[in-house]
Amino acid sequence: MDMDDQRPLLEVRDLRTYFQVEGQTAKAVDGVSFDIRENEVFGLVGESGSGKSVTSLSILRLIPNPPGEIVGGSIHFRGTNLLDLSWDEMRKIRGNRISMIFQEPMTALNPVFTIGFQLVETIRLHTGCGKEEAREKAAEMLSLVGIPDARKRLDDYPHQFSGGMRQRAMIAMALSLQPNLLIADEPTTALDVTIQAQILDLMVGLQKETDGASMLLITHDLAVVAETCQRVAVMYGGKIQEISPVIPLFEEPLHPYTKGLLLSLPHPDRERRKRLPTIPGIVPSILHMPPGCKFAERCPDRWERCDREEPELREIQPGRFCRCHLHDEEGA
Amino acid sequence: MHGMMSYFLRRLLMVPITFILITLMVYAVFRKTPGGPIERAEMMLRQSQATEGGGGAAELTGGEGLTKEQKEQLLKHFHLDRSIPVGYLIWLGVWPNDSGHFSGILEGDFGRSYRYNDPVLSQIASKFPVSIYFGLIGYIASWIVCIPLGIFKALKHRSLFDTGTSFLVFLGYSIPGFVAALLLMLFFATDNYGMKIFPLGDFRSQNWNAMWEAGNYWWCIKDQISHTIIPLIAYMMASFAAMTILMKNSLLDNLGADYVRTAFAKGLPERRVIFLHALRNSLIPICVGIGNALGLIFAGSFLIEKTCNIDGMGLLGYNSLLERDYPILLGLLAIGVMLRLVGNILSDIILAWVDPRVRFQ
Amino acid sequence: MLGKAIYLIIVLALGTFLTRKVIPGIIVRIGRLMGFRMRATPITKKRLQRFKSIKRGYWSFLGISILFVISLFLEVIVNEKPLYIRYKNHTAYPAVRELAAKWFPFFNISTFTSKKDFGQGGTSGVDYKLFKACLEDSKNFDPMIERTRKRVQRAEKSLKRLKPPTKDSPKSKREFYLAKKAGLASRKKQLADLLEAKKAFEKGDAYILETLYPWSPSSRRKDLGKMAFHPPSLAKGVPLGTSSNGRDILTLLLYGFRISLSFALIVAGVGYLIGIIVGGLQGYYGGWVDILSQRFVEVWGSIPFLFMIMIIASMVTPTFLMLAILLILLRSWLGITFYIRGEFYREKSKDYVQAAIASGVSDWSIITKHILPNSLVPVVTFAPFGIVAFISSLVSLDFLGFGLPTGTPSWGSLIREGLDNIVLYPYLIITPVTALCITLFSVVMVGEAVREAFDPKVFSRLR
Repeated sequence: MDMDDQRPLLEVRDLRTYFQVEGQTAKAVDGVSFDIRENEVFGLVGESGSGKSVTSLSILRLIPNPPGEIVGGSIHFRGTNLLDLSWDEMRKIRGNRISMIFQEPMTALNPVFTIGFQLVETIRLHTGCGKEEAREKAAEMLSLVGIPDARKRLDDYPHQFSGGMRQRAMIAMALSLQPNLLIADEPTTALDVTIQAQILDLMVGLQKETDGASMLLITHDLAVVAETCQRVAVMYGGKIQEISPVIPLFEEPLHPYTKGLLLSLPHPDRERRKRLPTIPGIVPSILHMPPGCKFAERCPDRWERCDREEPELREIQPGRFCRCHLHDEEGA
Repeated sequence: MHGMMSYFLRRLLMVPITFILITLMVYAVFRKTPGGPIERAEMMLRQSQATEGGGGAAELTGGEGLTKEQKEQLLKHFHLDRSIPVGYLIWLGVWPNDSGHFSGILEGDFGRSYRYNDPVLSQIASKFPVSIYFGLIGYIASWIVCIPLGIFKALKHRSLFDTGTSFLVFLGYSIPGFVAALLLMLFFATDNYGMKIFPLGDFRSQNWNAMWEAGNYWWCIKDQISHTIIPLIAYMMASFAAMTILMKNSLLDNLGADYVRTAFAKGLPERRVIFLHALRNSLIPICVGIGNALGLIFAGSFLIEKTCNIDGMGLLGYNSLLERDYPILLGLLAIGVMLRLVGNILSDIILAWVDPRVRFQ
Repeated sequence: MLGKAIYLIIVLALGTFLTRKVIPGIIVRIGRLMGFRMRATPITKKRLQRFKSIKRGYWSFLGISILFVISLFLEVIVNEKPLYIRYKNHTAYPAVRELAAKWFPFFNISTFTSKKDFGQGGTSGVDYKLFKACLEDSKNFDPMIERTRKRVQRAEKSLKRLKPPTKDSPKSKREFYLAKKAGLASRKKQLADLLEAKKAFEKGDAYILETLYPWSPSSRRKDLGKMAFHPPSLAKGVPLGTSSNGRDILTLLLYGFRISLSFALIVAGVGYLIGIIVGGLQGYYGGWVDILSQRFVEVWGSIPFLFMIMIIASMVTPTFLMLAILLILLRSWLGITFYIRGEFYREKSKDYVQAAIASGVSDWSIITKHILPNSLVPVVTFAPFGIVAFISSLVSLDFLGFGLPTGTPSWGSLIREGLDNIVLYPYLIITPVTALCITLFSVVMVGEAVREAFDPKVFSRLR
């Protein structure tokens, strides 16, 4: 799939993560494959319930069990399959080589420990350095993410920080050990609009500064993708529908779903008064997925084959993959 | 921090207000209950005054269980010749009594017991340690049992162990402590089933003090322990079920919290995540219960001390009820209220101490 | 024996039918009258379904409620008075009348049946056990007849010894003689009645239909002899033995069950109603009402309530109603206010309620239609545990002797008797304690199932 000679940093192949919900199996992630290259910002886009968060959690094997389980596939990180590792080996990767930022900065930090404690804990765990040294490093990281008076704020509890500052602290914690991959799961969704931009800038800036660090950015916001990512995957119904570099994706989307998403973005050229178009219908319940194309029910270009059989993810143009029968037709 | 101090100062200020409200109410109940002893005594007082001119021959006896002396003492103690507010203030000790002195509960004068003719306060003080002994040991023991059990149940949720112990927990919840004591006494303190291991009631053997002075310390310790076990289990029953379930649910909630996921994502080992991060948070509601336990110790002692014949505050209260020893009853009630109020504040202080998020306004 | 089995089956079937069909229907109707929407929302339906799927809780719930509904008719099921008694053309329904007297205390329904109407001679109440014995074997009349015959003979003798008074005799003497004569006549009549009754009984001109378990908690088991304590014995017909004053423990337990459970239901029901009103007012109006009443609740809650009730009970012997009122006032309404206040506060700030207020819907219908249904979750989850607490409170008070008046069938006083006789009569502890624990355990099971249905604990583990 990859055009480069260099092996990608992360190769996800045919990942399947299922949940048991009231006796039924919900296929939250059903055969997802993608690569993240070194030093790349990779976007994963989709509506809520499309399986993007579960995909990201699966990479770190943070799927709560019960009810969830990774039932198949492989996740190769620098050549080792994460799914084959023991829990101890996995722990050495978490936070150290791959770290993660979550959506809810309000609840993601432990309320009864100081920010400093939680930062120092992470640093000491993976480096084994002394208390003072770790504290020094923690303060350094906090000021790097733009928290003024960092040394003093180490002794604050999470509730004494604002939402944006907490997310900065989370970023500091995630980046404190220079991981090779940073997974950001909707890092700005819970924040005010003005803060969102700041946090995004900070993350992209830090990503560029640190060599070789890649980032997996999960979002439902295409505008964020346009601003930050090099390549993007669009997820729907637990499957990847389209993978493409960002610029061609915006210029000429291949999948009807991507088209719909793009149309529903506000655009400066468009007439002001017109209402934004929306995609009709709702995301199908994860328990009752249609047998054919997952998007068929809401698709404007649907034809009878869509209900019958599910299309394959195929390379339509060099580097661009799409899962849609429309392109089969063109190819054939 | 400043806000906290003023909050607790305000809470402390609430104590005397609450105390006064409750004791005033109780005092009023004592004086106004229809057909109550005071009303009866008041009636007698009025009748004897009315018949005084006629030679005062009316020899009034009767009036359930109250002797003539008791009634006189009652009159004196509650200042029935005064109006309710004044009488209350005298009883409280902020208004001069008939002899012009301030002598009420604020001065520590709860009056004298009818039965023992001792000051009420020293009566209560002599029984207090026994009740506290059981209350405290019972509470500590239930911590030692319930917290590990709750943790284990949470970690093994829905396993055979969890279901099995849940059955025990709910059985414990549905057997009142004194009933448990009764059953244990029936099985293990009588000869009915050939398993007489423990003595049938009492705090210690009769000759305990003599043995202690004689230097038989080992015998004394064994005797004390064998007398302690049955009431101790009964005391534990009171909080066993509630505390275990609280611990389990609290830990379950916290194990599902976002910050636990963060901790795992940082690569922390499972032990540290559960026993440091999640446990620290889930112990908060348990710690807050410490304050309320003070009041529980007082309430639980009645039934268990009566059942096991332990000479503590509860049995004192029970006997005083039978003898209608009202000064002691009012004294016990005042102490019960105080324990609860202090317990509430203690809970708040502990909460502020263990949970950094809490800032009282 | 077969008759009893059919009786039991009918009782159980009727109880089940009442509990499952009739009573829910009545509740729904009353709810509609008060302006509540009684159709279950999908969430409620799902919760009910989850509750039903938790078998031990659901079966406990059915068991307890059917038993309670049946116990409301205990007078016609467990009673020494018969359901129906007939002698010649006299009929009576003493047990039914007693049930009616219990249910409608204001009508002064008498349950008295006179001996002379039922062939036993005399004016006191009918001895139903004797009536039954005579029916089975008319020889049981013989001691009675013999006794009466002796009395007749004695009366005849003493009358003979008296000289018949003349006109000159003093008035008192004359009257005395007449009275004696009348006495003899009535004795003779009694004897004749008895002889006639014996014949009538032999002919089958009498009938008695006893209740399922024909003993009452209010009187001794005379059939067992003079001794008070009888250990349980199926052969003698005392399955659970007798108490220290010779009463049948099974009847005491059954009537005690009714008293305990109805006490707890009243205390919980009325208490929660007050709690909902107070909490609702606090949450809905807020402000000073809220602050002041919360302080009050806090102060009120720090009264040691059991001790307080005991003090009052030591001054005046409390009745069932008085104990219930005391427990309601001092305890049962307090706990729930906090939750209802919170729910009201939360619900009120939600958009749909604000919209309803803005469009001019009345406060009452906002509360009943929108807020209350959502606020009732804590009430439902708390109620079973409240009932456990109130049953225990009543048992504790009775145990200490400051509860219901002596003579009332109550578990607490039975347990107390057990404590007093712990060395000699262990069965006196075991039976009431078992009954208490089974009842409380079932209620706890219901409570746990309700909690699980309304607020299932999600368990997920990361590693």
